[in-house]
Amino acid sequence: MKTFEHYTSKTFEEASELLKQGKNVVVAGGTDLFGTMSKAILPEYPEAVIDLKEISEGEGIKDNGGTIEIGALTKLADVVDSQIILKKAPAMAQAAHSVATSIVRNTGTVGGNVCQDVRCWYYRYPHEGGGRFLCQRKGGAECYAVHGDNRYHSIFGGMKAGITPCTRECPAGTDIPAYMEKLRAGDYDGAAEIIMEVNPMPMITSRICPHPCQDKCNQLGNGDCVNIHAVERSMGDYILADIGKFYPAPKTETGKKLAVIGAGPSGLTCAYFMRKQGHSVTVIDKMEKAGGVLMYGIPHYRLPKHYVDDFVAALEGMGVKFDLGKTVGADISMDAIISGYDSVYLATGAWKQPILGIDGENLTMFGLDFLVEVNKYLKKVAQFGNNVLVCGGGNVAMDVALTAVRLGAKNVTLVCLEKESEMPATSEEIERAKEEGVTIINSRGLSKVVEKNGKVIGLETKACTSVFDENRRFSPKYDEADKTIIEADSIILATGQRVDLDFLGNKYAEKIKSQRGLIEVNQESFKTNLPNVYGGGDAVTGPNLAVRAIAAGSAAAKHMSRDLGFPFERGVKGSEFLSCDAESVAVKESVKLKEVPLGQRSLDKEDAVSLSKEETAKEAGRCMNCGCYSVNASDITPVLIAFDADIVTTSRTIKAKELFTTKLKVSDMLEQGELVKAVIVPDMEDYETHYEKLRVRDAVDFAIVSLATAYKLKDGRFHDARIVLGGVAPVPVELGKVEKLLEGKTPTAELVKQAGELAVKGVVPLRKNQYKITQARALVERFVEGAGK
Amino acid sequence: MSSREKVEYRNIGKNLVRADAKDIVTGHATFFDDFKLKDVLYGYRLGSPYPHARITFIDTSEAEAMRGVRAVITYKNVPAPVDQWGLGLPPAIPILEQVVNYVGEAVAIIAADTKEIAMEAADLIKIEYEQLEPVYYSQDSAKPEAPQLYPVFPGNKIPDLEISGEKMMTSLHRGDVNKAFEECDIIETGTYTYDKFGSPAAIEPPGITSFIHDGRIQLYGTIQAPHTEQMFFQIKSRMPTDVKSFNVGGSFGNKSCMETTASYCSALSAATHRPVKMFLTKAEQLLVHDMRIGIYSESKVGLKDGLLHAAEGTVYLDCGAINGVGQIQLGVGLGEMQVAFGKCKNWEVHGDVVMTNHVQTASVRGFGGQEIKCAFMPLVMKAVKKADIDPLEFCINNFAQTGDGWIWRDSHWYDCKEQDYSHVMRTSGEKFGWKDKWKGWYVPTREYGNKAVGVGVSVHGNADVGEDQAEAYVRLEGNGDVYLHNSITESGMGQASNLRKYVADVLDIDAAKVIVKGGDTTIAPYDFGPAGSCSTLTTGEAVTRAAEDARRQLLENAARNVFHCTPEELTTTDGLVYMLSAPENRVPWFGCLDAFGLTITGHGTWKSDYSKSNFCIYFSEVEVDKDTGICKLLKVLVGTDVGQIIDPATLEMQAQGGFGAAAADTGMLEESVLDEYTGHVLTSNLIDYKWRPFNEFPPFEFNVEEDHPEVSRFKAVGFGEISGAPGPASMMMAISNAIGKEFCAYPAHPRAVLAALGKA
Amino acid sequence: MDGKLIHIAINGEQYEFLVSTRKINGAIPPEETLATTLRERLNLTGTKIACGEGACGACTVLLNNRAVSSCITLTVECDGKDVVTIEGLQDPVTGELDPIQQAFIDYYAFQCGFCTPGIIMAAKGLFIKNPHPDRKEVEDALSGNMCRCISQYHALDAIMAVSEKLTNEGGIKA
Repeated sequence: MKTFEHYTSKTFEEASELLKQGKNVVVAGGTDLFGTMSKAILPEYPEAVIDLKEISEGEGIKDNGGTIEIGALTKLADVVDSQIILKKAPAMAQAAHSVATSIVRNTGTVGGNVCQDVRCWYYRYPHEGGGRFLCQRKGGAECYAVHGDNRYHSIFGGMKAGITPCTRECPAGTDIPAYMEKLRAGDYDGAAEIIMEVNPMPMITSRICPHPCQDKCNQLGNGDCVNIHAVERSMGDYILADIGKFYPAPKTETGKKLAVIGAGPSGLTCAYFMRKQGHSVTVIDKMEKAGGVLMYGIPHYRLPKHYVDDFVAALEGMGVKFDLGKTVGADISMDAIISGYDSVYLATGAWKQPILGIDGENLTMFGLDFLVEVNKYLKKVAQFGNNVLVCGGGNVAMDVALTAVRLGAKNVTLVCLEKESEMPATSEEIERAKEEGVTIINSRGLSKVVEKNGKVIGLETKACTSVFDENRRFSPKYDEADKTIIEADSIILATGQRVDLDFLGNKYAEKIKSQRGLIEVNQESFKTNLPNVYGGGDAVTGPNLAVRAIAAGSAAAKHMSRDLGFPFERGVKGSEFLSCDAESVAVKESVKLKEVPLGQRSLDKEDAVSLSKEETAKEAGRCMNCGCYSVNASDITPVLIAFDADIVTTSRTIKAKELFTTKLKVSDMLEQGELVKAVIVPDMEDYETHYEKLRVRDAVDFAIVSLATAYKLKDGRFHDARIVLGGVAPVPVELGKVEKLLEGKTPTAELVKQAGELAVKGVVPLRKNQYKITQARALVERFVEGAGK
Repeated sequence: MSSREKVEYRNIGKNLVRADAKDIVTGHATFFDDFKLKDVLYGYRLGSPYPHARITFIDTSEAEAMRGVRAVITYKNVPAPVDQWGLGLPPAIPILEQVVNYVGEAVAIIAADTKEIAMEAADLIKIEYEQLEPVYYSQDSAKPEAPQLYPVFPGNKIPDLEISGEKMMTSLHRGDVNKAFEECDIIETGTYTYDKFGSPAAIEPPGITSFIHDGRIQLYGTIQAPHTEQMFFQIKSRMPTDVKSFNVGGSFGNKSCMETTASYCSALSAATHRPVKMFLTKAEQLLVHDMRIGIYSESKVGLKDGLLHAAEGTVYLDCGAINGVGQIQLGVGLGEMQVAFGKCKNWEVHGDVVMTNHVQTASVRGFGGQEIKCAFMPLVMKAVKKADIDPLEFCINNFAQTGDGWIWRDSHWYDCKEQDYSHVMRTSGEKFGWKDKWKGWYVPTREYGNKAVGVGVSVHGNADVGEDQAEAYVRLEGNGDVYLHNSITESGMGQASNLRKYVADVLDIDAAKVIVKGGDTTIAPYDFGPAGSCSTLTTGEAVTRAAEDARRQLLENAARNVFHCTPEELTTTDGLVYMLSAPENRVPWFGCLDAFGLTITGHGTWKSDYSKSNFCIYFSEVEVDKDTGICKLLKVLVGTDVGQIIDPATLEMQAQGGFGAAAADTGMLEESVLDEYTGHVLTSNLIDYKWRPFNEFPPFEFNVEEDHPEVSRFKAVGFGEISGAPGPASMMMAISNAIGKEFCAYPAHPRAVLAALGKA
Repeated sequence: MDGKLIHIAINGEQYEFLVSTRKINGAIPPEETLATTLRERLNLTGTKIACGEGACGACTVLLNNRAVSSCITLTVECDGKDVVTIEGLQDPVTGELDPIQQAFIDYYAFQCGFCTPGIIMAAKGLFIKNPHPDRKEVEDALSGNMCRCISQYHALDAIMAVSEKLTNEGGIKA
């Protein structure tokens, strides 16, 4: 073991204080802790170990008349031997006796047992074997058991142990696994609700987002990542098909007025959420149509404009007002807006061409302008050459290049600073560009435009030796000696966009414009320095993903509404356990969108067709619903839950069920420094109580399935039965429905069968643990069958 | 019962307190880790997290700079002379490689002042991999399109082996199989596997200290057979090697060589010029130390008149990522088939040793025979079921007897000599109550509630009991002390102690008077070690002959110097020499020697002979809970005939020992669980790797007989190697009978049982 | 809590140790286990380390008369306690073996012997608590002691013989 400080506490309070300081752990019996530490299974190692064994008040079994108090530091061996427990709560003694081995019971304590960590063999894999597994329970991403050997894992599903990588990578924080789960259950409305909690326009984002959510999908360890954006697209289409249902007008009006400046993704999102809350919302934009970059900056073949129109119509249907073709600062003054509305959201985007300062720059076209023009007219109005050179390595550059191809340019070349692996464009877009004949030249920087008689004939480039510095910051280095000329008759620069805040006028710009020329906001609340004025989207961040702008619109709306006195309520809740579909999860290949064949692609038609409902369901099935699929290891806990015991901690008394089943880990339920001091078990002498444990060996092994039961038999009828399964889910499972079924009934053969069926209703086994269902069922059936015998 | 007369010996056949008994019960016995060597450094291996990967980047500079770190070795800087060594058989794999082939395979080895420092340093090594596609099963690995592990082994197949003039048999060709199948009245085919890579996992983990010094290699370790280790190392290193062993805390063949760990220690010693010790943790032992081989068999068998008449098929021996002794195990296993089915003269079994991205394998008790038998016996029994023959009768009628024979692993034919085990099979069946318990094929013995009980039987025999050479010196001291020099170690079987009896009975003294000096190649002559149950016969006879040689010299001296008669007129008892005709006039040994201080040394040897097999019959009674799939062994009976019992208590414990070390319990409990998703073996501790605990031992009966075959002076045949080998197949049969349908899934995990019942 | 002095009685002798996280010569670091202290500092190597996580029983010693795994017991946590190891069972004066040790010899109750000290210590712990255990109780008390050679049958016989003998003689001394 690596070294640590060691403290011996004489009281719980002292230990509690020590526990609050630094990365400290407590040791009760040590039967689990020291093995865990010497095998280095956890990435974190404690700074100090606090020994509780010397806390004298912590040990002992007391009959308090009606209840039995068992100190947390009572040894399991003493529970086994206790006459009080044998008489008044025998299942407790049976459970204690079933723990591990005699030697372990001599040291292991009740408190240690109920707080112990899981025995999952991935979680426990020793560091010396080939390195520990950083599973989700340890702060990593994946539960290896989902694809791996899960014979001892949960049959009731998993529990979230942290934010899954897809959700973490999604700027909007979409709970992707949750809506996938709803889809698997056939609940499209439920799935839609989850998406729309954070993103009102999945029909749009699914088409344009570079979907970083997919990049770290845990399915990549098995095969393709889950094709999240394709599933989201189906959801978007589904939502759009029923606007009345998904974009309802608010039932009540708050009387508050909001102005949104900029009808792009961020502004529209903010408008949606604010309107949903019942505020009066007006969206102001200088363009003729709403949508901003969605309408003007993204080619039709990626996002047909009817989606934007339909979405905007949906917002109008909710009562959002649009004031279009109005330029703030020219047609309406900022003063008028600020005085006329309770809140203002600035989301004007990044539309300005940056000046590179190279010779002949005036002869080039600005990529965004190019796209706007084509999007407006579906053709290039001004002169457009045959040899088009696009500069830039991002997705806008790809859009420009492909648009040029589809406009009929003979040769389209793209030049960028980055190596292919470093290009900010998604690999799919790069592939598509190549497929359609775009020549990509990597690692070249712009030197100057070569002209002849005021006409572009090419671009001089220089070698780019590196793009980023050691801190991964953009800091290109060039080899000025290595210059070449790329021939071209049109040069389009897609090397970035800038934010233009001229509309604010000096008075306001002074207050809210940052040194970098962006709107300065509080990162959390999206408030600017002006009262009641908020900002978000590209105008705040500089050019970025649409979904990040959406995330800002959504988050800003929530703060604005709260500040107006109308906070949002927390929305949809997931089911108790996470489920996944074992067979579907094993499928390595994703369902892909059907692409239009190469020769048939055009400027104005979408390149791909949405998935069918069946395909969507199939792909949603591949989502692993990442969480922790291990099972509770404690034998004592199920009994405590069955007995409805109280747990006394250093700060409160809490019901066993609440402490042990609410969250994945007991430690997550305890506050910092909080320690379990004792368990209070009611006198169960009137009850029949029992603990049954199935395992391969009658010692050492943890439960494959265990069952804690307590019941009374009145005139041969069940009364107040308590049935708790252990070893079948991340936390013990109380079979409430079976308990209800049994109430007042005699244990007939029919009842036995019903109870068994009900006990395992809704199980979601993994690939190798179906047998545990049979076992769980057998235990419950045997319990009912054996009642009174 | 026995056909030959039993002789009462003074020592042999009686229980003898082991020489080390008191040391063991008081904690004073010295095991490897109890032995302290000066200036020793501690070695640690950093293991690959991937089953198959190429190292694309490795930077050890931070680890090297750490205080207390003395050497960090990767594939880039293996020091001489170890850079010339190879792992495996043939030794063709460099000890560290750029491409790793199993999870936990060393990518760097570190020597440091403490193990903790070495482990901490390992975490500082920066390393990047390119993952390669792994292959885990021999039947996949043998396919042409399979990922390839080593360029030197194309097709992932290990070439045939010729070692010291012996050509190892990897395929078995006998008789005319095609014709024979035409004559058969029952034919069955099937694919069976025994591939859970059980870990023998002696309680004491393996450990080695290596010191390369003055042109010699000195190895200290948990070494079962010092001379085998020496032989392997001298072949590998072409350097003189001394090997010293201690009390070995269990071996089961699995501490015969430990060549990977020993090679790592040697490399670190070469780099640091200091002794380097690696004492594996239990986790390392369960994850990266040599495992049992796996077997995949796709075969066809035919019965004629109740006898196995023809067998053909393909057997893949899965040797994992490094082949320890696969070719030899295949040869022994194919040989043992001919022992159990001694009447079958037609065989066409193609065998291959195939590599997979699974941990390395090596020698383990059972040595090919257990594994092949576990995969083959269920198929034969399927045919026996079809013929509706009582399996016990089948075993009795088919086991090899005098007049039968086999091609053994060295590709030579051996006539079976001095062998008829039918008697002990019948008495064992009677003691087990087979007649009452056997209700017919796939019929439970009894049922109650949802539980059903079934019985099963299987047999095993191994001609390795005469395996390889052994040599011993017996030195008589004037004061009556007798020293036995032989390199056998004490690893649990009591052999070192029991060898005293052979010497003592030759010299007619108490066995306790004999002092055994072994476990060290510098003081004892060659002995192959207690592999294949051989030492009872081989070492026993070498020791006997050495004692006889010493006795002859003693009596010649006494005849010449004292009694002035012929040596034949003399005898010796309790350290005294006398004339048979005048027993009252006795002269102590010192009086008989040529001069004061001189001693007499006798020399004895044994040379390989594979003409006799040992025997084990295994009866199991298993209860199956048909609701939960949980199986319990209710009763076990093991029967054998050992020719002559040397030590009843240790023999019985050898029989009982058949549960352990991934032997019989691979039928019910033990397996190394390989995760196909990550390539990791998940059973890294004694909770997940399931040994049988104290409270789960079923009633055990041992039926042992003594037939006194003319194989050696004392007529004893060893047993321990095979004592668990037939167990797993007997348990599969028992479960099949309990649940009413064929069941063969090692081990009988509830999951497999419920699946067979259609309930999972 | 650096530089703490602790007192442990080991096999009847009082020992004083300095526990410190600093590298003081001879000081015990807090993470040192009892098994290591016994083996490396006191040369009491009869206590074996095999699994290092309390699953095999080879390191069993008595701590205040209870059988515990010394490989997962910190030395610092034994302050003020009594430890008995396999070496402490033999009568220090007469050299007489504990009845359990003697029974293990008489019943040939070991093979390689690596697990034997732990088994004997676990049995000792049982006898202190229950002088007349029946076979099931013995099996249960030894459920944490693993033996790979399979000496269990003989060990159980040996322990049962002690139990029966003690039943006749009226108990075992602690």
